[in-house]
Amino acid sequence: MDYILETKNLGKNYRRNKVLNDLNMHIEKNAIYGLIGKNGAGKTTLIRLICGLQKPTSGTYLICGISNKSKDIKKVRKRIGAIIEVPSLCLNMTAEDNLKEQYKIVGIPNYEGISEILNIVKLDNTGNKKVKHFSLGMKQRLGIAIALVGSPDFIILDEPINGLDPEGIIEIRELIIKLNKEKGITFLISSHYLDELSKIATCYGFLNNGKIVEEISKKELEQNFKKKIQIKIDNEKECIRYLEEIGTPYKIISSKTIDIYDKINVSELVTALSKRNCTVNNFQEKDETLESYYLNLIGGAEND
Amino acid sequence: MIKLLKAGFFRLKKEVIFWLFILSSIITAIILLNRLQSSYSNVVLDKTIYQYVTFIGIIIAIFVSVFVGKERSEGIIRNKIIVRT
Repeated sequence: MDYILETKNLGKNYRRNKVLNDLNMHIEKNAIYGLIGKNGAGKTTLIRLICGLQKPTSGTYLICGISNKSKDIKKVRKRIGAIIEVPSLCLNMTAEDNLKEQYKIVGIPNYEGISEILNIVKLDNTGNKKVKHFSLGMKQRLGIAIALVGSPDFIILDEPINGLDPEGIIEIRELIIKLNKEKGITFLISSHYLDELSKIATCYGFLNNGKIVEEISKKELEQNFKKKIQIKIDNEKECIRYLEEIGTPYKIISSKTIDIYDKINVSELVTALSKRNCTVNNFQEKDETLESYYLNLIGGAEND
Repeated sequence: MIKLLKAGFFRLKKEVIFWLFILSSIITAIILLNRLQSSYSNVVLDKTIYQYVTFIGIIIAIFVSVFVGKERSEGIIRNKIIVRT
């Protein structure tokens, strides 16, 4: 398998506090990798290690097959673009000037390609408008534009849609998908917006207590999703009694709504419940969401 | 390092505060020189120069702290480390 990023037993301690603990992670080329974990799980620390802002306490990581202990890591790291926490923008300058500054930092002698990058992120019509007058979505897109300078193969985005309005979220989502498909850029995205992440990610890594609990592709995840049937009833007690009798796993959502996690014979269920003076008012088949999968997984990991 | 300096100067040229400080130091220099010229016999040359140097020192200290502080708060230093390490 061709990995753009691979970590081997990566560890990071802040004095006695273990933030990352034997972390093993694999990101394939051309993937959009969704890194999921609660606050303090170690997402940003992991990203800071990969970007070279901090050094790992133990373990290694490989970018495009080059180890962090190798001298060539500096060359490989130039193929990475990153936005960590907030995009690094000079607020007193225009979008074009920000890109020009990045060109100088990267060491590109001419400004060819600036208009193309601005066009990709749809900021080509901002003219002399200073970045401090940009909306949050525009700033985020400019951040991605800056990360695109130097034609990187791998872009790391830490919480890219935090604080964005629905329109801004859609813009960022479409931009990521476009860059992934058209330019073949691999993305590592850490986000709390699981619903949004599920729309773009092609594989997921679930991070908990400094460890990757599970790495799974989108296809595998969809296969693992449990189907559930949501019913709305008027007699909750009788319904629960019946479900307990037949040994079907269920979850009470509200006093009138119950989720059933099993394949059941609907007509049998309705007949049995009506005999017990319980009417089924509504019936819906639903797929498990990434959110519920994550909660089950992390809950399970914490109980282990 | 040269690339970082080039980027730094590029940003510096775009900073209004930089041009304000340049202007204020030029004005101060003109005022001091004018004073020196008008009362040449009464003013000691060393004293005038050191007055100017002190003023410029204060100006530079304020400017650098504002400029570097801004670079840090806007995440530009972090970006430079990511690109250049």
